[in-house]
Amino acid sequence: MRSRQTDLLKNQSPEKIKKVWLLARLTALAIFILLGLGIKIATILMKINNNWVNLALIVYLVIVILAIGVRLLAIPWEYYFHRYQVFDEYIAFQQGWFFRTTTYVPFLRIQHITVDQGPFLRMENLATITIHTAATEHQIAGLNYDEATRLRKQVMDKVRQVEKDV
Amino acid sequence: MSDQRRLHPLALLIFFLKKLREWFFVLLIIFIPNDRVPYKFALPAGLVLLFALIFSCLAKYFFTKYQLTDDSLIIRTGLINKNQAIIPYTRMQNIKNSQNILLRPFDLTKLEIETAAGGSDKAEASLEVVPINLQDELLLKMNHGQIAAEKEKRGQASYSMSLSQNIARVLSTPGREIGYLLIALVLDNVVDIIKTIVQNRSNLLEGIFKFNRVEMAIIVGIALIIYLLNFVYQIVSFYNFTVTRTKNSLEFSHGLIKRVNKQIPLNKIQTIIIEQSLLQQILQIASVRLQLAGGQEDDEGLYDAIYFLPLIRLDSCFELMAEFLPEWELEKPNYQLTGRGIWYFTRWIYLWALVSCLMLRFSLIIGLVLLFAVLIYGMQRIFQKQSQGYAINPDSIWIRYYSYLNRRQVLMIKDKIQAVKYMTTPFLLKKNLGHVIVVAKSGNGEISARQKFVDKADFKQIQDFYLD
Repeated sequence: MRSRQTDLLKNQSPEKIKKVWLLARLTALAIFILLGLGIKIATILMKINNNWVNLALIVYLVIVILAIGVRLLAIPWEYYFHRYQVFDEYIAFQQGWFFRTTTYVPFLRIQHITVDQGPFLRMENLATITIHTAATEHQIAGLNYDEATRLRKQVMDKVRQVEKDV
Repeated sequence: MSDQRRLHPLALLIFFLKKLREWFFVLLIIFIPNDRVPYKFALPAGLVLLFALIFSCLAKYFFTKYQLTDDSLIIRTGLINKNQAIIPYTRMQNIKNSQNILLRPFDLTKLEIETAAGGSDKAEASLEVVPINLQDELLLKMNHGQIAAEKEKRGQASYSMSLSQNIARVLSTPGREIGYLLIALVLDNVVDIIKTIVQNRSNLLEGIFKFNRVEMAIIVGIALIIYLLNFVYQIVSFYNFTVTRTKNSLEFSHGLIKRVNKQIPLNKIQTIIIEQSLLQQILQIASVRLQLAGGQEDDEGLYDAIYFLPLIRLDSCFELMAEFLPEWELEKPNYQLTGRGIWYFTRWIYLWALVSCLMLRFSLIIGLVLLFAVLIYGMQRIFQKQSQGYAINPDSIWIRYYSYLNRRQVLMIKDKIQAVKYMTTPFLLKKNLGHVIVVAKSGNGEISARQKFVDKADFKQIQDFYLD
């Protein structure tokens, strides 16, 4: 697809991450809605019947549905724009659908790398790599666990051990 | 075997004064009769609190010991949670001493010892009240010789700030008090409006022109007092500020009541910031500060930075800095300006101005404050657009931008830059514009120098500079 954005990076995460995001956000939505329901039931049990409380609950529900709903709907776009690429001297990350950020981090700046697996990621055998510099953190979400390990080794090999102060 | 020493007994007084300062407001509320706290509860509660504070000071004093062994300094603290800090002499990088006015007649001082790692908010080790000879003892034991060699002064690069410069500095640097004052006024008004709504449930549209003169006067009065206190505090803290270049570091000394002496190794310097408040821009003067690696060093009033040249004329500042740091690239930079498109910079102003005018209908005060905020915001955007730019050196980059109404020129060393970001939206992408953010480490956090609505070609220059 010839899009006007010709400067997208090369590598994307595996497609499965979309399912993980979907599950995670649906769960979040469910939890918040249940919380709201719980409060409503509590007020019924305690025989509090206040218009303000009902109004507040409705506003809360609307906000939650809008906020999480947007994130749910945005999954395909977020996925399309969540990329990374390894170059000779540096690594570049891209994220975001509307606010698109491209971040460049030279290997020399990388202090350490962590690989995490939350419960949803584990189900699909995916992991999130976080690359730490002295001042910042950068994430690549949803790589295959093996791919993540390979990338980690590749990056660490490139990080030369120079005697630097910071 | 070396002995374990306690702090000097004067430490008890110092601790107690510190606790009083921490608990000042609570004590104030308790001991001054008011409607909130009935006096018969207040007095015993207050006494209990005081005893608790005194007890904690005693505990801290009796359970703090330090010891100089053959290869390290050991500091033991704590009654319930025992804590041992062990610092080998070879790991000590520099020692900062501060002499309180109470400590000076007794030749006592507070020592703070930093190591090469230096990564947390407080110094790795600090001894509150010790004899000043202890610093010399420690320096002797630090046998990697780096600090000892510092005594040899290099060149004549030194700067000291006169009292009039100090006063000019404080007068021309706007405090945050103005912001707090405005917020206080707005909050006061908002509280009134809420009260009226809840009580009356009507006449919201009548417009609330409540001008409670007494309340306003009190708020303004308090703000003035806070400003005056801060003024005096600043003058006194930076009284007789001097900085000198020694072999591998800069030595700073400042303060009237509490004299602080510290040495900063050059390699800890992350960025140099030349900052000018609005008034300073008009007067062509500036304030130069440094940001360091590690979080212990920051001067009062500054966030994660220390003063280098607290007040100086803008046209001579580059020369003076070059005297101190001849190894660095400190010529006056020739900026490549990057702001494109006045519409992009100002487009939100029109909306906010509209909203503020509408607010005038409801509350004069809130509306006025919002309009004032819009004015400031508008000025900031316009200045930013005209001023933002960069200048590339072989190993460092100057970036000029506005932070609120302060104009900043930041020198970031290539090696210390942690990441470079380019942020855009689909609409901006069509015009080849985006925002550039350069991130360097500052203290425990980061400093990001932002440029907005920058052409992609300019970003490419910055990117190439950074990524070789």
